[in-house]
Amino acid sequence: MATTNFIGVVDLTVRLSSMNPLEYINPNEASRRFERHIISACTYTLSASENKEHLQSAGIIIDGITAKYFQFQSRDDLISFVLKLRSLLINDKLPCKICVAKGTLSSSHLADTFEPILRRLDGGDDTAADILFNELGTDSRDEIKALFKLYRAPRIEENAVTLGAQLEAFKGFGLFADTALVAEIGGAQTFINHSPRRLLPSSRHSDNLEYLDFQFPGDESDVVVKLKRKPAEAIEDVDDYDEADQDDDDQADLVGAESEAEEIVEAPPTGSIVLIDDIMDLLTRSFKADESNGIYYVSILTTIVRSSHYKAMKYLPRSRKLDGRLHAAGWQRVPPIFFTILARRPRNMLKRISGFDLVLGALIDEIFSGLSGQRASAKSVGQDVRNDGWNRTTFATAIADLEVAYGENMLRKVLRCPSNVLRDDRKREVLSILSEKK
Amino acid sequence: MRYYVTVDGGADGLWLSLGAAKKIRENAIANLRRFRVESGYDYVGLEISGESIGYFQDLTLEGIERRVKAKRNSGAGGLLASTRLVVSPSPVDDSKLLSSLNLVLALEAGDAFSWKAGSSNFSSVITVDKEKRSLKINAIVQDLLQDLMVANSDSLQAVIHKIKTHLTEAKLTELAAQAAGPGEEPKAPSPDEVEKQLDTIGEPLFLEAKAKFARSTAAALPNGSLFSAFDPDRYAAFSSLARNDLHSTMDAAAARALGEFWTQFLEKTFSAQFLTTEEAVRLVRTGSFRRARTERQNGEGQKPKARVRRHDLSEGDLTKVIGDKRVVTTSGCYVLCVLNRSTRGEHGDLSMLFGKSSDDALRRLTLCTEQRYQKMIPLVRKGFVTPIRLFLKAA
Repeated sequence: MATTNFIGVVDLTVRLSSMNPLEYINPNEASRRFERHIISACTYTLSASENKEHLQSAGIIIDGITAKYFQFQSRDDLISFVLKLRSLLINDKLPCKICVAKGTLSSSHLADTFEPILRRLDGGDDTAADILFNELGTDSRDEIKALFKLYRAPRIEENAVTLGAQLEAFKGFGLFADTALVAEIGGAQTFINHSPRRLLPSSRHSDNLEYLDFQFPGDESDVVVKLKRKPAEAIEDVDDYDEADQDDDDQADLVGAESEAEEIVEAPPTGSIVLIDDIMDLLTRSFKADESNGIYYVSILTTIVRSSHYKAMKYLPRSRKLDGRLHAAGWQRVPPIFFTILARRPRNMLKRISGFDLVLGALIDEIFSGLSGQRASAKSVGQDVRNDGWNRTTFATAIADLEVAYGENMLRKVLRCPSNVLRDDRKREVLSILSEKK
Repeated sequence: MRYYVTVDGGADGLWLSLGAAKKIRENAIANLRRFRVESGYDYVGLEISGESIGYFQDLTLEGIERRVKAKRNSGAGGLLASTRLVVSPSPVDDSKLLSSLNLVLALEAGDAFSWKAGSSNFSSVITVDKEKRSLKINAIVQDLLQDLMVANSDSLQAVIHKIKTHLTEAKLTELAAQAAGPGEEPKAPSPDEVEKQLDTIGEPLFLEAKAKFARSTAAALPNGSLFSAFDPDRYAAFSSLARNDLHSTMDAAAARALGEFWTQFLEKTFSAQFLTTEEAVRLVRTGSFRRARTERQNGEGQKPKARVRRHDLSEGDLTKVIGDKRVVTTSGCYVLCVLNRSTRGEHGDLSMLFGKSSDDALRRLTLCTEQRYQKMIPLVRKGFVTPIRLFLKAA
């Protein structure tokens, strides 16, 4: 067991009654599905792993009745296991948390540990009797034998206890890896995330727990495009239009007067829309049960924000023709999470989540780094090239929209975010944009 | 033919989750609702059910079926038979393709994804680059669902069934002729035998003809189409042929093109198998047709759940209208328009298009050619008229 490097624990948060109002998710059913997904993740990791023999001899799930403790020797196995598990659980709408740390888990039972000491007692070693009495509270041979029979649960080591405590403290949804692990499992797909913690139940103040998180696999084409459709009668004109400026897309003709009959359509849904829908659905339900449950969703929302692509985002003041299509006025080619955060319906709920400033901070940071080509503040790796021609107007428009949606106070809170959410020079940029408006 | 199975694998989570598939289906139906008005073609919604199968190597269709069954406890039989789509990042071994399986979409790990369609000897490949994976998968799945929904409509199925029977018969006769020795008279295939082989022989031949038509059409299209971007070998979704942009949903032009492709394809290739008057009358009286959904604007139009009342369409009236030699001059596609409500008092356009009977009431039925249907579209949009596509053989 000494070779084990990484350990982790996974549990469902639906088991908390407050996260599962009115038993929207049946806990028994959820446990069964949880079990199934863990098994899928195990088989997946095994078949994808390079050291199959070791995994087979050492096992993956070491302990678990409600919470599952798992262990890995190789970093790649760990990553493939936790990512797979997370995607399976979220896809099945099961709120979960997964904690990962460094260390080993003992899989020995009470009997394995104390059998040698018991043998020493047989050999006439008096200190053994003391040890047994101290540890087990008895030195009667029969009682100890009975205890071995009764207490078959694996002995929980310090590592596991710490991990359990971390799991308890982590008020989040998704993956939690100790920041100490940056050196070992850090990489392009990881970033520093924060989980807000209330210091006292009554306190309005909270501090943030820093931890390592994994991005969802991003897809660059996962952006929202809104097109404008003319009513059927006007189709002929549009066709003419197509031919007229097929060659100079960049010139992007402005299309005049918007008539009400025109219909705005969204492009087909892509990757993360469904994920966001699921998460928002869960959030709405937990939020209805208790507003303080919102805090659990800060981490997952941040992860989605950090997994999206902002490079191509563009604000069109009026609808116009690009690439032969008529784009509607407003934001174009922005990731779905941006629209979700700006949309009126979830906005009023999101506003009241404590710690939501962290999500907004991450969003602003990602927009900045997407538009300017610089590294995101939360990431340890990545290029950091200053792109001189970066589009500050687009950034300013985004900030202005967020200010309209969430109010000045919220943006001020964003400016107080830790600097590995939003770097200080970016905060200054935001501040200057806000003051320009006045 | 109503299922949809998600096969999961790969580290990136699900390639196409059940939720995503349902969303795509909603999108497809929203498109088809407009398409119904625009073209008069009906559609039948597909039931979507996904199952994540978990990672395993050597993915075979048998293996998928076993796993899906085990998870659903659905007992013996027939789940995969009704499956139209399997999405998987690892290649699916189709050497044992079930004969009843109609369509498989297999996404292969790596930069390309393959698309396998049809029965045993039938497969084709579509390439998708990794950067636009989700967008492309969504686009192709949406096109596929739309195509299936349109093809499932009663009026197309009636023709397709006849075509498949014809193709199977021809193939079986050919096989029998080969088997028979020289000088012997080849045995004509029995109707039972033909019926049995419909899906194994007729369906692939039909889909192949469809793909052939699509390829020749795609080559002639001035603006290109998504179809040529995917370059499928032996299966064609006409809705990818109709649009040329990954991002856009079906617009009015694409809807019009989709209808035209179906019409052109059937008229060009299979007009000999179109319906006789009796068959068409039976189809109208027994088939189920979706009421054209009204777009309720400014309080106009009827309630969306109103149903087409067909039982009061008399056989005599239908025969008279459908068998009208003055309208059905050539074998081809016609649109039967049924007036939805008694419209004493609704005159103007309606009386112009439908005509009046002797007691000054509007006639309920009229058969339109493609051009005449264009005039009918505003009325369909208002919910006065239900269009039914009919492929009729000239007497």
